Amino acid sequence: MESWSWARVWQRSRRNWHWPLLPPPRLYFRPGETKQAGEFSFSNYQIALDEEILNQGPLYLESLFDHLIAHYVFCPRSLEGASILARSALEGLKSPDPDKARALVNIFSDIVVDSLRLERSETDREKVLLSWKKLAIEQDLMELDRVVLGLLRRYWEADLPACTRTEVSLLERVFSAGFREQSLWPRQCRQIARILEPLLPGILGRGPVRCLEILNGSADVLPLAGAEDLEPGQYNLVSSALGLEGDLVRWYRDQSYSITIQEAPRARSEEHPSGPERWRLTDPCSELDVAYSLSLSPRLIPGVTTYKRGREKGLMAPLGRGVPDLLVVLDSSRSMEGHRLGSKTHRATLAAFKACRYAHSKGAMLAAINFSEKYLSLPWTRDLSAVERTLVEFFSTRTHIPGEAIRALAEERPGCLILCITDTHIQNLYQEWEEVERAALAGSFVLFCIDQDYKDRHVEGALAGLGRVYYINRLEDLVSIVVEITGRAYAGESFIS
Amino acid sequence: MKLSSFMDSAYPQERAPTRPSKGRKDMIFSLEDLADRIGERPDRSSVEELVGEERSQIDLLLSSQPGKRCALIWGYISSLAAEKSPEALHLPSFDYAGLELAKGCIMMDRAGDHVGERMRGGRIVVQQEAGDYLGQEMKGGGIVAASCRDYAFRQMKGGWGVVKGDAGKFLGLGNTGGRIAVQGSCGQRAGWMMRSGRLYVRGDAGEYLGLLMSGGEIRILGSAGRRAGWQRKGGSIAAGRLGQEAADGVLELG
Repeated sequence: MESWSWARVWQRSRRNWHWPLLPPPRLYFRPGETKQAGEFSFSNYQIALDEEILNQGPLYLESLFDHLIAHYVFCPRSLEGASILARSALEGLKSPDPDKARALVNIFSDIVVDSLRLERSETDREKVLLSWKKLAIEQDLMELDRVVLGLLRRYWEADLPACTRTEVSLLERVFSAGFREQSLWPRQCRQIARILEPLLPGILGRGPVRCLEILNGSADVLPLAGAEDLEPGQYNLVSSALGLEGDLVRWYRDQSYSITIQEAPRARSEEHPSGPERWRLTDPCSELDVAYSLSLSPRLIPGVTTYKRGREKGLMAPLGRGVPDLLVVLDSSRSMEGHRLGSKTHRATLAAFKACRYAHSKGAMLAAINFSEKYLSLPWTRDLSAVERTLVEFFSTRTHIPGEAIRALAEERPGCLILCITDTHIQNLYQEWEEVERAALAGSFVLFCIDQDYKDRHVEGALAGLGRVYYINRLEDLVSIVVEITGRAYAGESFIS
Repeated sequence: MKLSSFMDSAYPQERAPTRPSKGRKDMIFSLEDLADRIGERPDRSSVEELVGEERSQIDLLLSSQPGKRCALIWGYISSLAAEKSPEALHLPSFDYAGLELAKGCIMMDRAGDHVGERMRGGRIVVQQEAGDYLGQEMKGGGIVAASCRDYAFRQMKGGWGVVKGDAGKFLGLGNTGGRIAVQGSCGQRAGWMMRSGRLYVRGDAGEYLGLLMSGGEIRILGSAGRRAGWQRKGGSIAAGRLGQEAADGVLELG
């Protein structure tokens, strides 16, 4: 088949689905095959055609295109939808495995999109069943495939091979609730995972999860839905099921997207010139606008033909002002409990991430110190990723604040904002006191003490002299307070009393 | 009216017979699915609300094998099924069968643990041995079992229980009402901290019978073990023969 013909089939499929904005398919050449002029091969490209597919004929090709387009416009559609399904599949599995989850998401979404195609147009029935019938005559059909074909036979009343296994009835019950209700998909996918797990693997479900962001190659930079409810390990599994690389930096980044900083910039109230007003004898002579008055009348008669420039008070846009650079000092000692949901480290790192991201968006330079018994210091930079990588380190040893490093960084950028988040179990506070004091003089020092129980009257008094100190009673408040303080600092308010 | 419904009514002959049906959001797929929806602390009202009245749904859930996570939910469903059933319901020997049963009848060959817990009415008949915590915290109704293990009828508030054979230890612990009859013997500390209600044992009772009891009535036709009525504050204990160190006021029937 010539290239023009499959291009025409692609356009026909797009027309069937109201012209979705999808990149066109490409011919995929296996290694060793000759490459045609103007074509290129990406092995990871989602809509890729090879000779074997083209040899199946135009009807099969149109069916394939329709199926793929339905994936991109309906299920799982987006990275968010795909991540919700992958998470559900993992929850349903007794032994969570990203490859199994990916296969189950693919099987579920295949059934959903083809059910949609069947419901959408009765005339497409033959086209929809074409690929399933092709699967049914495969020699190496496995138990999983037989069960799914048995389900489709019953569910669609289609001419497909029957299967007597009990799993078919269970699957039929899952889909008897319908397939259009998207709020049901996570439950249905989880249930399918429970039913089909013992039968994995099969021919069905191979290949990547098909969603728009993965197709467009932007999945790496988009937030994954529901990251705030997942432990780092679960997050990595979900990412892996979607073919992405999940790590701690991305875990924190995805959670911080949902935290919003409300900006409330204050307008300045100042006098500004307005229209001409009558100058009277009681007004100062300096205010008389002689040129303007003479332009209206050849003789200056006070109070009659004399004018001055009027001024009025009103709200004006705030003046542009320099943004303070941000130095984040983060405690990663053992008492901070490590990277897991709801721990001190989790809240502190999340707050630091959000503060850094916000300051970065305002054009501030960033620096970071992550300390325990030893410390990691990142000099002033605009590289947000480097800062984030520094913040996610977890040393898990004793708490020794690196006063000299803080002072050195603070003195490099006088007036910077220093956010220090710790549980205040600092063992060398008095040894480093002078350095910390000098750092606080160079910048605006804001200390967030997480552990209220450890509050010491003498330490409290000493720390209060450095700048503003916040004692956090409830760990949940930490993120909101840090975000609020950062928001205030960059919105131009005085946040240090 | 939705557009699809309007089109279906306007063009009935055009409607595809093989169209997959639009389903119900409330359908429960399995016990695990129900457990996912209910959360960590299931209660009868939430189970009742989600499962609904549909018989086929209840039957499907009842026929499932409940894991540890779904045992309580299965127990509630067994009660719902028994209450709706016009005749006695035969159940397999899973834990928590007849949990908070209000009416109806449950028949079981064997019983797991916690059978008939917090029941308020109806009957449970166990043909063979029952596990621990039989009829715990029951308020009404009746249970008949061939025999039972420990903690049977613990903190019973009302209703009745009959054990045709032997009962285990701690029978009727902390009871504030109800009646218990054991045709065989019972283990140690029967009627411990009993405040009200009646306990009748045709055979023998173990040691510390009626320990710390403050009310109610205990009758043992056979012999009681040592220290019967130890630190008793009220109620009455009578036994055919008393063991050593029986407390004052404990009646020996002779």
